[in-house]
Amino acid sequence: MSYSKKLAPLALALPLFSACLGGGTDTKAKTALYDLPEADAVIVNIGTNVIFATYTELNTKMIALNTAAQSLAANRDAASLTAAQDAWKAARIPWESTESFLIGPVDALGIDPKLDTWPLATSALNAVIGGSDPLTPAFVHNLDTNLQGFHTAEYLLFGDGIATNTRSVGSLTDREYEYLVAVTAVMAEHTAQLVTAWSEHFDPEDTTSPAFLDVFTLKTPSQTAGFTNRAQVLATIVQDGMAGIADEVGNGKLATPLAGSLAEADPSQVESQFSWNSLADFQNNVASISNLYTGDYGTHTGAGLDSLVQQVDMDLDFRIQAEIEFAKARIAAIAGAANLPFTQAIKDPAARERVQAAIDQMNSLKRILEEELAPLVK
Amino acid sequence: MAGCGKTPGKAGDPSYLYVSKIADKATLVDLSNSVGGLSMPAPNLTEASLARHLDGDASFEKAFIPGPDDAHPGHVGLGPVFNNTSCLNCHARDGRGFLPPVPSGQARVKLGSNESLLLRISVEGLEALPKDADHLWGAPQPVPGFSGQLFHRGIYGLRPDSPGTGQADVYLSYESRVETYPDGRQVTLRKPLFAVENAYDGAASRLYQNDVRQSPRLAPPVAGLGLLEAISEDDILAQADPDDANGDGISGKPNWVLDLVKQAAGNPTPLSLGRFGWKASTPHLLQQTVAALNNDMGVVSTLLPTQNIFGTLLYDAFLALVGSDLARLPTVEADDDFVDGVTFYSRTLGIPERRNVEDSTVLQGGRLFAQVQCIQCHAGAYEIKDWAEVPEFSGLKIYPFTDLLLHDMGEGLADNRRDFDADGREWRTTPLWGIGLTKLVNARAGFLHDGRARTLEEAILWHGGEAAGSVEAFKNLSAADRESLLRFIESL
Repeated sequence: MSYSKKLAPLALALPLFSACLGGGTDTKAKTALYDLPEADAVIVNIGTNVIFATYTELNTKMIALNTAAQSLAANRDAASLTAAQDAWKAARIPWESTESFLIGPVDALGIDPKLDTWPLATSALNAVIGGSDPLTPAFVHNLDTNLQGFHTAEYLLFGDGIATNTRSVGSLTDREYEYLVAVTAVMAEHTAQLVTAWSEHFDPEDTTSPAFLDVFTLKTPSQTAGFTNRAQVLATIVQDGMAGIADEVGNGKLATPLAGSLAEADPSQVESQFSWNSLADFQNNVASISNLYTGDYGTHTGAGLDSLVQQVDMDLDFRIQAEIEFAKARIAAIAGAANLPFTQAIKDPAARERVQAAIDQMNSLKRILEEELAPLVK
Repeated sequence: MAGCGKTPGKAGDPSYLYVSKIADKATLVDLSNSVGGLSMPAPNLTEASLARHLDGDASFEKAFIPGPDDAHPGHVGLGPVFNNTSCLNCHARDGRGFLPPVPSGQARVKLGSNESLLLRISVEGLEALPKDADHLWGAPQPVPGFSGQLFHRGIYGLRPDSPGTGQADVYLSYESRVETYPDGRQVTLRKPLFAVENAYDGAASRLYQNDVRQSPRLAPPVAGLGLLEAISEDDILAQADPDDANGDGISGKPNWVLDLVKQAAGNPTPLSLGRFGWKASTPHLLQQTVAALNNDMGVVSTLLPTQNIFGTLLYDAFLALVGSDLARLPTVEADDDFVDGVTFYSRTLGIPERRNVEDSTVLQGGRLFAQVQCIQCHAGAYEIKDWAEVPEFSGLKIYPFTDLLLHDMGEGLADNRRDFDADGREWRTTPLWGIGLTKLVNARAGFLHDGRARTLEEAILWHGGEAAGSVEAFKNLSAADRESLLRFIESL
């Protein structure tokens, strides 16, 4: 998604600080996590083996999606369409897994909206398909963000998602094949740019600029490029990242389409509605939180925030992990026995209750992150 | 004024030196030293205000699409010409905008679909026009066939010759020069140049004639705007000295600008004190909201119900494109609730607490900030009077480090384009609060009106005109003192 929901502090406890100086008289009972000796190693592991590894995976899967799109355009058979649809879903996993750290080059290079804008300009999309402009990557670069990226490719691959989340390969036109190939090629350009920015130089104009991984891990702390100390890194991860996406999933992605009543439920607001992939997206958003917290990603296990929290409050670590697991479970439960996609779940009375339970759990996760974990990185 | 009893410090210390809560109770004290630090609601909002802020936040993020659109009718309103597609896209994380990178090996780059910079345009003769209703009260005169802003994006189908292009294409390139300090340190300064091509009215476009002025405008930060709006006019005007009566070389000037609300109410002289925008050409945040919706996105509201290109040939092209679907387009694309929401959101972001306040280098820099006379324009404390729009801000004592007045900044920064009372060399003093988080929020964000300065040091070195004396003094400081001054500004 191209939007980033801001936090809603659940409690507005106004500290009674004197207006004179900055500080108050708060005495921390626990050591700040960024002051623990292992904090550097945690930041390095999170930066390298979670964040950068996720971007690398994203790029790999995006190349594979473009390859599958080319095969589909060449072969034009059902198996190729299924393979391309699977490749889209496979690329979606690492992208949604970045949503607890949409910082750095994905912002500073303006890439997020080009990959994930929603809603699409559907009428214009059909005009592009029905027109005669050559559907090349150069053409896609000139299009608005609402005519490219994940959801444009999704629309071309899966259809409109209303009665079904697929389409017959015979329904695809020549121009749709071309558009799909061009859109996925441009997406792969963007993900390659992200990898370069994180691993080589974050500013394409300045090859002497540090790799953003080096900025994030404080190898080259830089006032002119970003992070200068561990507190900033951890505050960003916990608050802007983990709590931010928990809020967005609960109070945006789930709550907005659910609305206040069945009559008001709005499937048009559902993310990834063409592919019926919404619930998987939300699961991967929660996985994103988990990956940062545990320091684990894929087959890699490493030191995460958990190893710091365990040193100051074992019970809190246990409860955070429990909240994350509950969040995964509540989202997994939405589909129910009928395996409803999210667009249908919001219109089903029993499923609506399961959606509300998931929202409540996301807010519970948000609460523990904001009210109990965030103070440890203040 | 500095401290309440236990503060150390020297006699004569500037009042702001030890203040870390530079927005008083609207200062963010928790975790504002982070990538999201400019994007947080003021911590002293009531529950009701916070709920309103969050609703406004959702509106601020809303992505507009061209209409009609049966799949997403609630999102229509974009275009037919625009610069970007949501408030958030230009004002990402509520921080400063950034320029698109010029790819290695290329001399220039075309402004694309997700920029945070736009060009204001106008026609100008040698003399300023009378400041009356017939002449838009001193507003920049629109370019015939265009308006006062160049819309480089267009809805699909508007320019069959150039898909995606709006009124014209804009290309960014740079010219550079090297600045050398007296002590030999060298800094490369670069200035963006903007070439306008492929105008919709052809090779002899009115846009290419030599009485057309252009002024690049980068998205400024959104944090703290409501607090600035709450400052009383009298307090701002008290700092004005347009004729430099006191002979100190500083001549801060108010900008009296068209107030759309007054105009709509039939006020015969609908002028108000401008305070927002790079030349203080916008008087209040409601106007900022509706003007940005209408101009930057082509979204019409009840206060600005006319399309930005209405009456031009490009609008005729749009009519031909949309055909009978015109009847299906809403006449109001951003309703009053939406406008109020965005306005309230932009009013109620907090300002982050200063950082490293008592570091010796920061303290030294804070003293130098006054000594080198930065403080003359990037001025100090205000006490907000009662403010009905956000009562939580009433009575707060704030340090935004701006006098909100116009100053001649010299030839290097001139855009040579008048904007109400601002001439081609005058700019409003930029608020410095929050500036230290700029690069944390976005590593490629730029400073100054066109984002030319990549660092605070570069921004200082571009100052001229009334600031020339301060810059000379800065350049002649020792390297250590210059670093201290920069550390102080980074603490804000």
